[in-house]
Amino acid sequence: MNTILRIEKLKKHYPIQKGIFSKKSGVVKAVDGVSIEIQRGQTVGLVGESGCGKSTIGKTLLSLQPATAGRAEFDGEVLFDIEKNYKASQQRLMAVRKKMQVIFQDPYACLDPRMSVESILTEGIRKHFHYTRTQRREIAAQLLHNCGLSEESLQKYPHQFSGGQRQRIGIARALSLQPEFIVCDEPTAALDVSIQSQILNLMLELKKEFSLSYLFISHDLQIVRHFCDEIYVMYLGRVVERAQAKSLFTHPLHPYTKALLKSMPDFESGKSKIRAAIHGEIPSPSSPPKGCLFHTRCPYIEPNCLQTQELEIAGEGHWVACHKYHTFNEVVS
Amino acid sequence: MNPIVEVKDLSIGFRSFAGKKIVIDHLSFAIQKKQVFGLVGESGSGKSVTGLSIMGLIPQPGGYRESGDIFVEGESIFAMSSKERASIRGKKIAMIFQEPMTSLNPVMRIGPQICEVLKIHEHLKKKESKDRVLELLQEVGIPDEKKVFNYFPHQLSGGMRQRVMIAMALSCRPSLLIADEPTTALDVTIQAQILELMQRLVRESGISILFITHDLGVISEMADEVAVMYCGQIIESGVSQEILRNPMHPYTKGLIEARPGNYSPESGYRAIKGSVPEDFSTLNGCRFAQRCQHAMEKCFHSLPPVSQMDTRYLRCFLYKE
Amino acid sequence: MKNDILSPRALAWKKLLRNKLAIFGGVLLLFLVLSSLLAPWIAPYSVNEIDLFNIESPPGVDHLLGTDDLGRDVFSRLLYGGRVSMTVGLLASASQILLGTLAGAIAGYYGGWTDSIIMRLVDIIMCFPFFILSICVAALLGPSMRNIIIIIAVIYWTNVARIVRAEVLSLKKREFIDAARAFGLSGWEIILQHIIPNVMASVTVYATLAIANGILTEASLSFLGLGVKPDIPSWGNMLSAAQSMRVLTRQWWLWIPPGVLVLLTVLSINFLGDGIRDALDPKLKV
Repeated sequence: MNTILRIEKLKKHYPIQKGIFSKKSGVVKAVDGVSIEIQRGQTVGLVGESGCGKSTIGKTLLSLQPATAGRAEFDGEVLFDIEKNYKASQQRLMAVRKKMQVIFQDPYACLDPRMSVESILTEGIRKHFHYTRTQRREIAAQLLHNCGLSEESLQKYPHQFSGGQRQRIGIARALSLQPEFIVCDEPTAALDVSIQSQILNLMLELKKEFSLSYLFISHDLQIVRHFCDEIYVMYLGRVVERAQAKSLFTHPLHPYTKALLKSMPDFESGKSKIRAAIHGEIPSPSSPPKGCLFHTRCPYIEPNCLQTQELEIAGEGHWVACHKYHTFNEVVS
Repeated sequence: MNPIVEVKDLSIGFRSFAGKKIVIDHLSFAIQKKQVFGLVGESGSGKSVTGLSIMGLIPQPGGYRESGDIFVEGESIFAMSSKERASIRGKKIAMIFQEPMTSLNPVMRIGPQICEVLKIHEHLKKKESKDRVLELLQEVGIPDEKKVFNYFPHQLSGGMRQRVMIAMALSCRPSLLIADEPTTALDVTIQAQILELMQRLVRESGISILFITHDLGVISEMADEVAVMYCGQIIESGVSQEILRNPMHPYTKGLIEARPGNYSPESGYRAIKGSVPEDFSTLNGCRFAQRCQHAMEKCFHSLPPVSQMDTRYLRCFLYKE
Repeated sequence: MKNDILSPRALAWKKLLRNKLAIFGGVLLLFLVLSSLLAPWIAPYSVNEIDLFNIESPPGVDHLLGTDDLGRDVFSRLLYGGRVSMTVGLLASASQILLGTLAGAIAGYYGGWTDSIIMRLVDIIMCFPFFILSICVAALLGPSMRNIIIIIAVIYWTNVARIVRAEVLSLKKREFIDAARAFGLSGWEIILQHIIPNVMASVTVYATLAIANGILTEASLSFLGLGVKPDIPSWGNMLSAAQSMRVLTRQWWLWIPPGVLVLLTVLSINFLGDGIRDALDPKLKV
């Protein structure tokens, strides 16, 4: 196995500007020191609630936003290394863009309403390859076919499709440059349940057919559970737990992961008295709590939770950022 | 026992330049006192239009009532004058939406916004209404209610805003709360908190809730009775636990199997093939026939009638009474 | 439903054709445009032909709408005058839109310093009182049709720039722009291929209003004597020739017809513009 993507200590801070003179009055630490490693052919899940920075990671990876600090390496090519003041040149970046693509959440906003499906699908091809018009059309038709749509769709416009079909077009577009790696930013969050499964199945098939690797960003643990090999749980810009999907669900260690799992509406349990697993609000990322970020809502809080805790290894392939996870978890090795 | 709201054979359509289009088709159901009634369906099933129609707010432009009636505590809302109908809103029936930010006035402080509702419906004095609002904010679990009273909506988080909306909805002690996807925009940990609050309200203040959602997990935890909607029709309804444990209609079955947690390596994610038809007014047969695995010849030609089996109502040819 | 292959444009057409007021405006406008285009064939007299036997004569058989103080045929001058007015309207509108759309798109898309510089420039220009500025320019450059167009374009592009910039700011957040960037498209490619086609809807509407505004501005500048030279007929300077009390009270045929034509043209363009706006709004389905 070789690593296709390695992110080290990635940080993305946004300045908060106030007043007419744009004085910097603070920073939002959207992503604060996150390291992620993705092996070729693997699907890695990035889970967390809104504002935890999961989408920001995707955007910095795709160089849609500059990083504040950290280093990212894709397929042996360093994308950026802020400490060494290095950024890949435009030329190099173009080569990377061919191999790294993205699927978005909103099937309505992700397609240009004024473009026909054919122009949407061939936009990237026109930029990166020299094909004739007929060749491009053939490729586009093939892409549609791969994603379960018919060739007639080429002449149509986005508003003539349902949400699920638009998402298929979005996926076809991402595949148009034959990428090796796709950032999936909540690709099913806006879809109906019955359609969601179709899209997930399609993504599984495509992964096999084109030997893709995915970074799957989601807020929904249920989806990530079977879709991903490894899962990173994020809270307020930091990773609090990292584990193989199976072991995360059978032995969640961090109190936050436990709370997330417990909060999922459970279909099997039936009508019961709902007990919110944790109380309180998610703190604002512009003024995060000191020390362990979760301590304001954690039921197991103790004085040394006010110190920062890095991820530490807790079992095979299982990392957790908690001072005292062993006191309330039976550790299984 | 008289139901709080009874929808009888209701059909709602939309007129547009492309012609008429029926979005709700002969809908009937009743909500009893202290009951949580779940209305489940995918987008375009007509569940939100149903909620709005009960409020007497058929979406405009183009929306109109084709047939049927809605009774609120025995009175037909279509027989009322628009003034009478307006007086029901807030007082007997209140509604909360998915995105609380759009239902709150962004330039008005929280407290005065709720006070305004009280002024209109209950004609309370300023001092009285302020006390009432503080009480309400406390009731919906807002910490520091005196501070929040003077906040603007944007200063609150999504979960807190939804609590404020609930407080506002409860301000005139309505007998029915229509909740249209109230937790869809919220994070899971916050969703659990809001659901807990709504359950407590039913228990303590005896309000009924019409819970509109696409999430079967939420329905299973919240609802006493459930109606599954597809293309403007109720295709299966009854006691929620029975229906969710033992679904009979192929669509209900499909929805339940399609939960992503139901993945197996052999069969992948269970999907319902195809997608919801855009315009179903032209379909003669069962609306689900095109996507149904068990569709028979006649499913495409004639609409299955509603049949009753114990407490369950079902619209499918596969089952006989 | 037969919306098989309906591009957004075809859909808009369909909606526009159902709008009676817009059709009325369109037909009226077409009539006005054609009659001034065909002026050499329709007009009974040439522009500056002087009929010394019929000076200031009221409408009659010889002169359909009478003659002015030099014995020139009012009806013929009206037909020719429409050419100037409409050319000014059209060219002024086109140039302000070209300038404004580009500036607005660049400011909105790139943001930061570029945005600040362009938008401050817009603020400065918007602060100038229009008539004082145009009087100065006309006085410096001399009155002519070209100068009127330049004045209008230079002052009014700011409106377009503001509209476009606001729209680009919200467009920029849409995911298809991110998708294009992930393909490696440059800023210019994105502006030309994605941004501009998407703002065209609101710009088209503004364009029709700008034409109407251009015609009015030409009329008012000519009325002040700062517009087209008096020997070339335009609706504006025909009106300005009718300034005296005597003409206003006794010789209605000198000022009512050009006034009515300005009114009709502007009104028909506005009707059409409203229709286009409704047709291009995807939310309005009726």
